[in-house]
Amino acid sequence: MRAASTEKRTRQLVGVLWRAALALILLLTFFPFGFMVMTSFKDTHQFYHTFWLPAWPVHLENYTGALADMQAYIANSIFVTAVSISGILVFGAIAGFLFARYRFLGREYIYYGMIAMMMIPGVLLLVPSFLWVKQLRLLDSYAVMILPYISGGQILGIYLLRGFFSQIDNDLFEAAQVDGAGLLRQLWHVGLPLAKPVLGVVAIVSALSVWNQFMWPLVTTSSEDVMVLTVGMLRYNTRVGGQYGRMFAGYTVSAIPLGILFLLTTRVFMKGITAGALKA
Amino acid sequence: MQRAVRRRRKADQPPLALIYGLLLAPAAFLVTFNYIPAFSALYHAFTEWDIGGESTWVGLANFRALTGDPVFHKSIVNVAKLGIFAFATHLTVPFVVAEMIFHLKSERWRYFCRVAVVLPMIVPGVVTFMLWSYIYSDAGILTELLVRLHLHDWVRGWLSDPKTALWAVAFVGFPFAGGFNVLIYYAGLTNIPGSVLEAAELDGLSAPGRILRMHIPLILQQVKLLVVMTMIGVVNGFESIYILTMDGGPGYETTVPGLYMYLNGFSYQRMGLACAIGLLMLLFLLAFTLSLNRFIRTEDYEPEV
Repeated sequence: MRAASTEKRTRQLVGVLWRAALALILLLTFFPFGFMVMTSFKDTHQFYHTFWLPAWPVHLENYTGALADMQAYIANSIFVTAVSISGILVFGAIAGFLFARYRFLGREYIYYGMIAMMMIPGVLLLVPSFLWVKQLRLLDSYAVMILPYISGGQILGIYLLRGFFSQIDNDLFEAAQVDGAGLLRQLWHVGLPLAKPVLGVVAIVSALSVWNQFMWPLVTTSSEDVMVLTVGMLRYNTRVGGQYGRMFAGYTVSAIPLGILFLLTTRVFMKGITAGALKA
Repeated sequence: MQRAVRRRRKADQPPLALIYGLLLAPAAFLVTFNYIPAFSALYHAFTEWDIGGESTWVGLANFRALTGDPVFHKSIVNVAKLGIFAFATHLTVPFVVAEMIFHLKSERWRYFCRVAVVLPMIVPGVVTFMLWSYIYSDAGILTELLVRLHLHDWVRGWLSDPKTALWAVAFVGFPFAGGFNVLIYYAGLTNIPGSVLEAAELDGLSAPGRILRMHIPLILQQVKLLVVMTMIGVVNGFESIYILTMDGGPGYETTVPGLYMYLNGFSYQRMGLACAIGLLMLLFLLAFTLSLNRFIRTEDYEPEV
């Protein structure tokens, strides 16, 4: 009897310690980000004098300043990401559908020829890609980002959508076909509505990857007109050097767009993160 | 079912011209932006290539130059150290966190914790590195903390002191509970059939025994995936170093092959040499992935979509 109860007690104790350790790891993970948000409301005096605690009054002008400096970068990032995702979804859906449903000469060769490029990390081709787009006179434009992003991003889309469409029962397309619907109308009216969850995952994976691109836009763009957020942050950093509140307000603002996306699509977002593993 | 599919495919076959026509755009993109740069890299690794686009064939000269290049050697030593550290941390901490979340009783809390580990990913990677750059700076959290603890002697320029610079780079992301890794491990744990878990409990296996003898063998597929992903991340990843130290300094203390490739291409105008470094990195990664697939045989990872 007593042995059983001590055993129960140690179990409980282990459980509590286990949870406390988990909470501690999560706290440590969030600490830098929490500090960032807290400090983003301070002026420089408050930063030096109440370093560890929130300070009163809050300085919202840090945010108006940060927004004014960063809105052009954010708009560019949103534009580049939205166009890239659209291209990736269109190419991924069409090619995935064709590879899954029809037989034609060279199907497997073309398919594996496309998938094979997933094996080569783009960053290793930074130098030859740069000289190539320079030769194509694409430097310093939206196209220099969007076109390669579509090219690389479509691969995962084709892979996932081929897998999805080849599992769909063909009878579903039959009705449409009897009505005289051609290939594209079958895809549009039957295929795509069914594929919505997969399209969502592809969109999220692409959004995360395009949004975070840094080295490529850093070397291929230099004018503020097309500059995206990641590269713009470097300029922002130098501009606000030493004004820590302003700097952290900018960092916080940089998280807002993906934060909104995360709030709106939490479950798909989390699936998208693990699906991105296929890029390996 | 199979036969029905085949039979109707014939009737339903659209004109080949339409199929090839529709595939033209995706294929043209891939050729232009993936294949041409890849073959260009392969060719120009054996050339001297200047920024104007002029290149002369030099055979293996770039590779010979690299074998005798102390900076390249140093960069390999650095990336090896970072790699060992990453394997010891980015593979273990997320596993422990995934186990902790997996053992929580309430589904709500499990979901909450999973969302929590993913949340930092809304901050752009570059900004996270800038945040760490601040943490190590003179007015940074680390310095303030040591001053608070009256450890003034410990304070230093973490990123400018040759003794600590590489460590500072390695510790970016502490405590290493990366959302991606945690979710992959967690997915592995939830895939273990309930009956297997119950049987283990009835056999009287203790919790540590269950984790060591059952969970780890059953999530080998996820472990392998993360080993490959971590290796790719370490070998290719030089964004953090670019943000933290710009040029791989002090001296060459934080130079890694990826950054050295970038510097050769964009600062020293040695484009051919940069291609050679990129090619070596690619060959290393392919060899690593293939040999791992030979030694640890598991089914391919399929995400749930």
